Amino acid sequence: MKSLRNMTGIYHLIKVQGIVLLLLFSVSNQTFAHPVAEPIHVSFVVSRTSEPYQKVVAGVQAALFNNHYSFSEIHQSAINDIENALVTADIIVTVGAGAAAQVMSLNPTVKVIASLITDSAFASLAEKHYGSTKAAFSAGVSLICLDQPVQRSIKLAKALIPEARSAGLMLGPASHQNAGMLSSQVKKAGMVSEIVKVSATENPILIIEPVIKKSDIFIPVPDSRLINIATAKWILQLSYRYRVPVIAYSQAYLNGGALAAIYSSPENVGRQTADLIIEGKRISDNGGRYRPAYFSVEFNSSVAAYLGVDLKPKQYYLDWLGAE
Amino acid sequence: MFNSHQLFSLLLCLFAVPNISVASSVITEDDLFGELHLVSSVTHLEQRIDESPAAVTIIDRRTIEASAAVDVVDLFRLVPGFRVYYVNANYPGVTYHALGDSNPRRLEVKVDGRSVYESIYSSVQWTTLGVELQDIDFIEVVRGANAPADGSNAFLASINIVTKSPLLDSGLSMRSQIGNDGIRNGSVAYSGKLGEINHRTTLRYRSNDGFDDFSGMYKGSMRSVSLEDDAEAVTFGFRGLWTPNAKDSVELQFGINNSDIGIGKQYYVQREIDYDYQHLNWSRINSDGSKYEFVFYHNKFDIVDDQDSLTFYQVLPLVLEADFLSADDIDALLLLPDKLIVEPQRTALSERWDVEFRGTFRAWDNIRGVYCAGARRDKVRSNDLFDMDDTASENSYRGCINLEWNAADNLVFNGGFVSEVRDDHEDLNSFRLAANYHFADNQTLRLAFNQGYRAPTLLESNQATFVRYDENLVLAADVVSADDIDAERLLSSEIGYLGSFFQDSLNVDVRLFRESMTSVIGERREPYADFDDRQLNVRDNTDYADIYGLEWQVQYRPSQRFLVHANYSFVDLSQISIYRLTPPIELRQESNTNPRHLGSVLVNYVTETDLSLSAMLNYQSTIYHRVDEDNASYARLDLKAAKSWQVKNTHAQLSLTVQNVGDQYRERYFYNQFKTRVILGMQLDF
Repeated sequence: MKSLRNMTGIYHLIKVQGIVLLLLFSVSNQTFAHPVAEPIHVSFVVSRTSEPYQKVVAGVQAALFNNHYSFSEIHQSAINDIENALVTADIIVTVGAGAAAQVMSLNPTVKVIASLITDSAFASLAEKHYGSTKAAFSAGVSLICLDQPVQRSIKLAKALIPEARSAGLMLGPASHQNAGMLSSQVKKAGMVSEIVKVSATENPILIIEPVIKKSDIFIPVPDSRLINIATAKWILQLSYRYRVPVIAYSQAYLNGGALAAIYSSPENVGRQTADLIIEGKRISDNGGRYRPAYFSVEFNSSVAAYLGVDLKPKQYYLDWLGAE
Repeated sequence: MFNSHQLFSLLLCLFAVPNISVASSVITEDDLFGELHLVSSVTHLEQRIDESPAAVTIIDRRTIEASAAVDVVDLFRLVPGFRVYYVNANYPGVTYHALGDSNPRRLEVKVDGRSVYESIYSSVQWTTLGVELQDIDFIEVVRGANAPADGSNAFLASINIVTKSPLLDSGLSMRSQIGNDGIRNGSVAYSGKLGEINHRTTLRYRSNDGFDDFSGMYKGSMRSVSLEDDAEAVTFGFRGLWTPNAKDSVELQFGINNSDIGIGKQYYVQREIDYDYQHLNWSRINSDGSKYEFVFYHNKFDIVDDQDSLTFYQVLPLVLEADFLSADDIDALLLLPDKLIVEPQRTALSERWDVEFRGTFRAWDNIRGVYCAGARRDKVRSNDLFDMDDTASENSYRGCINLEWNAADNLVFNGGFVSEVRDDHEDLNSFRLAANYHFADNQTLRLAFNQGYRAPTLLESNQATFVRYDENLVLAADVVSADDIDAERLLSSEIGYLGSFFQDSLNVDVRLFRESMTSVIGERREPYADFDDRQLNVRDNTDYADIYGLEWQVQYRPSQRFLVHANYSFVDLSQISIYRLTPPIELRQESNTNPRHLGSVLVNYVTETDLSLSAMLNYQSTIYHRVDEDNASYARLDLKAAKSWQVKNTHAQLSLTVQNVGDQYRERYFYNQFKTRVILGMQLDF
């Protein structure tokens, strides 16, 4: 089994290197396909200048580091600059929901990639400014979803605790309607789902505790800040009490006491945004929704020791999840 | 600068972003990347240690379990610069860097955010805390002044002991310890539910016989001291948690403690303390992730020291021996009728009510902050500390703000300010500025500057300990406070380094510091006009202290089974004390009253069969004391072995702790001999 894994790893390495070479080759081709040495101008509109936003911008720039691209960065508050960029830039990359809101409100005709934005925030903005998500895509706006599919968390949970029979899921108001779909995904992973729907008006401990108590693993699905903050502390404390591992969605959750976290890091987002820019043809006409292609997985070894979970090397789980 | 159009756009955006997140079905990146308010730190913000404005040592559960500590104070030996000592066997003192007298009073000590520092003896009565090692989730020690967040009593450092949440355990836990020196400790804790309230309720009992009686040579002569320093304490504590909805959580704590301890200096009295507290903490999370917190608490210490009562005729022969009495004075004294002048009990009552409101906020892109407004009332009463008045009280009000500015990815600035207003006193304004520069991956340099003030306590500013026949005749005098005692002032600066290596398994913390204290409150010896110009101690701003030093701590945890914690501090203290202001003025050099070197090492290994083996070595260099106090340096080795079992739903642990393996050493006084202690412990969690 071990040697098979090693071989899988080598195969994976060759595959990754192959893709990188292929990408380099295709970039070169693209380069030569543009005889006019006019660089493609990418204009970033950022919601904030703080770390995650800057990391996305830096990630894109690092991946496109050659003289065929030029860059500018605008804060979402600089409306004049944004309006100019909508005319002069080849591609607008919005980083964050606030920036996307600002750009989409100006009905851009240039190609737009909305990054570091969740599916629900994009849908809300698309409906507001274009009438529907589909209309936004038709207008050349592309979305790189920030929220990782819960399915990946379920899959990771099963990889970490193969003997787990029941998976508890906490759903906030933003994902109440997904209960049926998530339940079937849990079932598909070979477990029984225990779903708790929380709301801002209910006693969170009272409703979460019974579910954690009868679960072998617990997955809080990210929701609004209020729900996330109001439940995280209690979930982590109850998981300690009942020795139930938590598969979380952020580094902060992991540091607080979750066993593992799977999430889109700003670097992951930057990398996928760069991929999308490189594959320029795909966004030439219509935009579209792009599920997060990359993700980060981290583990809390102290919690693993407390729970008696024998952690395998990270690559094992990345392979299991089919990461590139 | 912004023009009006840009400013309008900016304001529009500030409102536009929240609009996205308020709809319950919409999640933004802020929801995914945002802080979770799991722990608050130095400034009451959720901050990483390498972005905190002060040096911090966290003593977590793993460290507590690995340590060979038996009492909570033993844990502070693991903190660089902290000195733990025993004035009496059951009257420990804890201080940081300097000023370690019988009542060390320049640390703020909190339990779950409630100050346990009491104002009548200006110190922490550690036996009344009622917190056992098993109750603690973690301890956060801020090494350095922390007045902007914890108030003026966080003058040198602050300690926050965070106890376990009622949600962490379930069911019944029983613990017991038995050892030599008459150690008999036991506790029962139950975590469960009362309706919608999750609670942790505890009952504890502790007793010991203190140090052995002393009989031996001291300074060339045979000395015998009978030490009546035993203790017995019973504590009941309740911590309840209620979360009526997702936004609000309410924690209620209350408890009572009865302690009976022998205290004294060769001559001992039995002190009985009745202590009770009530503590309410309400917090609300707002939809933008900010938080409001309201904290109220009340502490009450009722202290009774048994002492020998004295009548006037019993003390008269001593009074008549005084050489300043004239023949007429003697005749007058002899005519006075007998009466009780020293009551059989010395009583002291100390009460504190404190209320504080805190709120966190985020401004612009990179600025976070927390503000607070609070009020406090202290009230003390004693039949011998405040002369004729018996009581003293004080109201104080405070406002504070702490800001964190992430100026760049690798640069964080912190600023904090607190203003304290007290009845009939000058306002006190303390502040702190700090910059944390992440100059390489997982490596940070911190520069910090602090100006802090510590207000004199009620006892310090109001003490007048006289033995009177009546309001006109003082028979004896001990201490009186000067009329115009100022607040103590601290100016400190530091350069700190934090490094984390090998995927966080090795953490290094180095602090180079200078602390200058002026107007330090002490006692000087003066003739006192109201006491026939006889000598007594006048409490006043007597001392000046200047400290340079270096301290470091290294924590190495290569795996869950192995742990090494080491710390060391070098403190170069220059302290000058005014001993007498009456000419000829006499100054005293007190620079050697603090150990220059302190250090400890804790090594723990947990075998695959869950046998935990620990060794903890502490070193303290020589201290110079004046009278009857011991100067010798010591190295103390503590060992511990603990074995755990899980039988169905019951967790059992048996432990053997040996404190101070080998020869005895002396704690503060020559007669406080810390001999080898052997403690057998057992715990059952059902």
